This record gives sequence, structure tokens and C-alpha cells, in this order.
Amino acid sequence: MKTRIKEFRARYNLTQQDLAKKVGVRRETIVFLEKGKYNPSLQLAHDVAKALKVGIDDLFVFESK
Amino acid sequence: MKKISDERRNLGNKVKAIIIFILAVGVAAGLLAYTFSSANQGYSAVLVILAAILLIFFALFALRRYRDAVKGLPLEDERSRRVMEKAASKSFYVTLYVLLGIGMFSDRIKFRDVSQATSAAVGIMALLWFGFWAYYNNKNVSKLLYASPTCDLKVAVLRARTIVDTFLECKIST
Repeated sequence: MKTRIKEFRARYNLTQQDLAKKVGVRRETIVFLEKGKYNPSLQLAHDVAKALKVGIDDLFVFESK
Repeated sequence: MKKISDERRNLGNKVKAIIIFILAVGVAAGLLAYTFSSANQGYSAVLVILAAILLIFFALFALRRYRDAVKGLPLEDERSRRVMEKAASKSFYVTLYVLLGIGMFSDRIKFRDVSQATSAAVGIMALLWFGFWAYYNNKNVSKLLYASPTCDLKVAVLRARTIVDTFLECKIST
């Protein structure tokens, strides 16, 4: 899974900590999401997308098998 | 559902961080006291090292949590809870096998008394938990222990259903 969180985060000049505070999670969670090393729950994905004002399917890219 | 204000949440997080720190200091102090009380019985080196490791780990952990609480960040979230769950379950299962092994080789492994045996079991479990926590904290821990397939993000996106429908379905089913 790839994410475009870093790209959208840069658009709004948000640090990882700022985004984490906005979403209500720890900074490490944002770090792992950006690296694609964590598959979030739908609730978290929705919250991150809402914080970055973008759709979930624009933010998370799954490579179909 | 009652919404908790940010101030109350931050205060609650600070209190939790302080409690964690007090518990950590208490555990480390108890272990050090036990270590020096058994100093003449040849086990002190191992216990001192164990106490030092636990003290450093807990102090750093508690300090980090307190700093996060001061900044208004949450002490735990879904990812940290998953890491804790995985570490706890793995350390529990491995400890069971370790205790089984100790029981099988009880004629070769000599404990001074029952309290030393139980303390060793608790110490082994704590160290195992720490090891598994460190391992899973740097690993992909996406798989929930009890995940509903309909709530899986990947399934929802790959099926190309509308995100709103999927989200509402998850809200109804949970």
C-alpha cells in the first residue's frame, strides 16, 4: 500500500506532529502511515483524509493483484 | 456520545503519564531493593542489570508520554494499542512455554524459594513483553486481532465501493 499523505501534508505546510494532533493520533502512527508500513482502520483513514481535505481513495493507493 | 473537551483530555493524559512514571519508579525501586537484599547470594549481577534495563526503559517511556501529554498529543491510539495487544499475547504464550520448561527441568533449575520462582516468572514475562513491543513497534502491525472484513480499508477500496457506504456499514455493524 502506498500513501500520498506526505504530498498532501506539504500542501498545507503541516508537520507530522501537526497532522497527528489534528487527527488525534500519535506522531509515530503518521510516520508509519507515510511509509506505507501500517494499514489503518477505515475510521483512521477517514479522519486523516478529512484532516487533509481529500478523498480516501486519493490518499491511499492499493496495488491490485 | 458525550464529547470530552480537549482540556479535560489533556489533563487526563498528563495524570496518566504521571501515574505511569510513579509505577515505573516503584517497580524499579522494588527490584533494586530486592537485588541489594539478595546481594550476598550470588544473584546480584543479573538482577542489577535487569533492574537497570527496566528502569531506563520505563523512565524513557514515561518521560516521552509526559512530553506528549504536555503537547496535547494522545498517549495511545489504534496503532499503539495493536502493538501492545500483540506484544502482550506473544509474551503470554512464550512465558507459558518457558514456565513449562522450568517445570520439566525443575531438578536442574534450583530456586531459593517460591517467591524467587514467581519473581523470575514475572521478570521473564516483563522482559519478553519489552522485547516483543520493541519488535512490533517497528513492524507492520496492521492485522487486528478481531478484524471485521467489511471494515478493512483495502477490501473497501479494491471493491470500488463508495467510501461513505462502507463507512456507514462499519458504523452500523460495530
